[in-house]
Amino acid sequence: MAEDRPIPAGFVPEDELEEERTGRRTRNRLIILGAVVALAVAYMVYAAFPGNALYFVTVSEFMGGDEYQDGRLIRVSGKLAPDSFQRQDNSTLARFQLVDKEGDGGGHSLDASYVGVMPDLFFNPHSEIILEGSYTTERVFETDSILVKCPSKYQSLEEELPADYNNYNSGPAPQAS
Amino acid sequence: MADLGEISLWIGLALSCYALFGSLAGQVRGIPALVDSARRSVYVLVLVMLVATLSLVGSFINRDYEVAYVAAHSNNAMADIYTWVAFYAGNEGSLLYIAFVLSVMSAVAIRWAPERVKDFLPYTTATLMVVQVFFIAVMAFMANPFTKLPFVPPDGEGINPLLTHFGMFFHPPALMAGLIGMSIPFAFALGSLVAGKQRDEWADSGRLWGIVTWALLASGLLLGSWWAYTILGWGGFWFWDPVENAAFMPWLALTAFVHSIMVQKRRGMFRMWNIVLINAAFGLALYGMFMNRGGPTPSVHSFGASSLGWVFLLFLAVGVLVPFAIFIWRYNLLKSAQNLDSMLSREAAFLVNNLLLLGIAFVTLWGTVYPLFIKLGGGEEITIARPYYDQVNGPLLLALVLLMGVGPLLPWRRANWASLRRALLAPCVVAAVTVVVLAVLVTRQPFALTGFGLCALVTTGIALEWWRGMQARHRNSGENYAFALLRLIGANRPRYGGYIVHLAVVMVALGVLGGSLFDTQRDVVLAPGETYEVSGYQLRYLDTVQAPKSDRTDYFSTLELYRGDEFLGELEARRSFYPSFNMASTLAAIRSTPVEDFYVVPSENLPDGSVGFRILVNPLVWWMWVAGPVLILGTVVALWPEGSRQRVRIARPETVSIHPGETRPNVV
Repeated sequence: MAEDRPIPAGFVPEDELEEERTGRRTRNRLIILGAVVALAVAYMVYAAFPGNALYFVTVSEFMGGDEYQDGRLIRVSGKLAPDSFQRQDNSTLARFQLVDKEGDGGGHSLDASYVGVMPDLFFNPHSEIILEGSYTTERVFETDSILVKCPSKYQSLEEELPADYNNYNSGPAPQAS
Repeated sequence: MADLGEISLWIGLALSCYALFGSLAGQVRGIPALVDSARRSVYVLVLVMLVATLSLVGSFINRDYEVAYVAAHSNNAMADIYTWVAFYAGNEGSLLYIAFVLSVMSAVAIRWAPERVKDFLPYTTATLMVVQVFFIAVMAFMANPFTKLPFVPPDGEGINPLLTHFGMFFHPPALMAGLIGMSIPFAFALGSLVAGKQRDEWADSGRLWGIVTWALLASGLLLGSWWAYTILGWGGFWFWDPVENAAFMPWLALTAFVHSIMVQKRRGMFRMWNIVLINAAFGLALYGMFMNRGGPTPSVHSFGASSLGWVFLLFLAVGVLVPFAIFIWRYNLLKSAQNLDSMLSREAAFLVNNLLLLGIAFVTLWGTVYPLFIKLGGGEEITIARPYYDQVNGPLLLALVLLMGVGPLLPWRRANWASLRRALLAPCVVAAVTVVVLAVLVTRQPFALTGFGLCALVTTGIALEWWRGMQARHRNSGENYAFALLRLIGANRPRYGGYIVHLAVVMVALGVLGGSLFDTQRDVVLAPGETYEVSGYQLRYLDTVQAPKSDRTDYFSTLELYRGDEFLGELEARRSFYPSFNMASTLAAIRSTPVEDFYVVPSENLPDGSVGFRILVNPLVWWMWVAGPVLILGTVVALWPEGSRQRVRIARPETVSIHPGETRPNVV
């Protein structure tokens, strides 16, 4: 722009107008882009949620509710019933019973089975054990994975000791047939 | 010993209160002497906290079981070296550790703050001291590490055996330092905002401390994964559990911040956004600390198992709401100096990177807090299974890797398609070749192919940048290639340091892809002499030897590993049983190569001498652990102060003229 000519009031140079316009255009695109990303994330969350939101119940709640026993994937928490753990002669099939961690739980106990080695803290009487799996028609809880919560007496930074990561790696754990 | 610690705690509380109100009053009333004395008391605070720290260490060394904390976290059998771990094994000690780290970081940040932030530094000091007062007060009134028992027990309860691992020497301290370190960039941002005069002056300090904190958090997370991998005996390294997520989310927000702060530094844009980001990161760090201290994890049935939960929740609310109010108050200050020129530019790439990172953080946060909302709303207790995180965050993380390949190739302001096509051609070709080769030889899994293709794209892009720069230097100055490379890095450290960090991220991505998509797991019971075959390996179990120790019994299982006729080596895995804790800990035997890990851990010792083993073959996980040192190296390069300014000025003439002594055009 020529410097020697005075600029009339109210005059907006052409290139500033242009800049203003591109600025607005970019801003609009930006908002669209942000909205697209946000919608995509929201949709992915929405799509992944139903399959992965599991009921989390205690042993007595589980035994008292038919809707939990229809073979759906569910988590049950409790503690190991004393002397209930058995291993079929040196195989990896284990059978055990879970009872409520607090209270007598109305005398309920849950027969469970698991194929594999048990996590380190499984046998600790203070441990809270969380089974993920589903109930079969033979009235046995087929466990896909076991989580053991550290006894709170020993404060540790890692609170949960996952027993079995593998079932999670390729999509949802398979439903028991 | 403990009395000294107790006294220094109270002195520390008084000092930090003085520093807080002194710097505020001094600044508002314009009394420089008061501001100075408040600043000095921040330095003295380091000494006071050091005394407190050392007196707890001393109590541990002397096994002064009258101190409740010492009695709860050590015993006579514990080797002195584990004092380091026992120190932060519990609530009280870890608070002391955090307070000490914060005092050191605050003092360093304030003492060596650049000249141009001096105008608002007192507000920064005050912000830091609010955090400091909180931690010391929580200790003094609620979780005092020096509280004494009414009697002296003959022996302590001992340290949690899971913590007596090499990884535990660095994982918790790095993570806690990272979480509390977030206060520093946050304090610079908030200080500048409260003062309300300058806009971009805090960006340098914010970036510096942001990156330091970022590296601490990143190494903390990696070390934690490594610890879980070698000692927890389940063969994985990441579980998306609430406590892990609590450390992961602030790291994500901080990653967004260290990128977008570059845009503010260079172009005076994203001012508002950066303030929001660092506030979010700080809030998430507070949330992380809250989750670690009696926070509501999904399997705990009520809010806050300890009273500390409420206090941290309260502090979290203050730490989020007050900065938000200040942000609204200073809203006008935060208008950008410039508009975004084009959607095809470095700035826009940073913005998309930010959106993705925040998206991942949101997804993670949602998974963690959704069950709480349902429960608070009176609904049934539910929990979110891990596939949710994998399914949603997986694609987002891949998109992030893609951006990592494209973003650095884009120029500032405006790119044109032709030059972008040119820059991307070679990386895309290499990526395509990688995908085809893998599809033919290894796998057809679309997610894995996309992932490996993107890793190839990023790596090629970075390698080409280095190669071009190296060649140009070699041509222009006749330097030999190795020297040219070093000079190239030296000439633009933030850029090349960033590339090194990006390479480390690619390595982590390789490890995650390999370890989570292609792992093989077998649980078997083997009798001595028996051989088991898995993934082309033959594993022969020899025997198990018992070794009684004072506090535990060690079971050493010896195994031989073959592939075909080739003897690969002898593996020794350990399982220790601690009768006083009625718990066992394991140390996996891992044969680690860049191609794959062979991982075996004895999970159950059966009465007849057979052992239940968990065997895993994890491809590419090796890369993940090697990424740690690379990441640190990249951070150090990026932050290394520019020694010879002269050369830098010649290399980047656009940064010189406006304000001598500044490396950045003043855009206000």
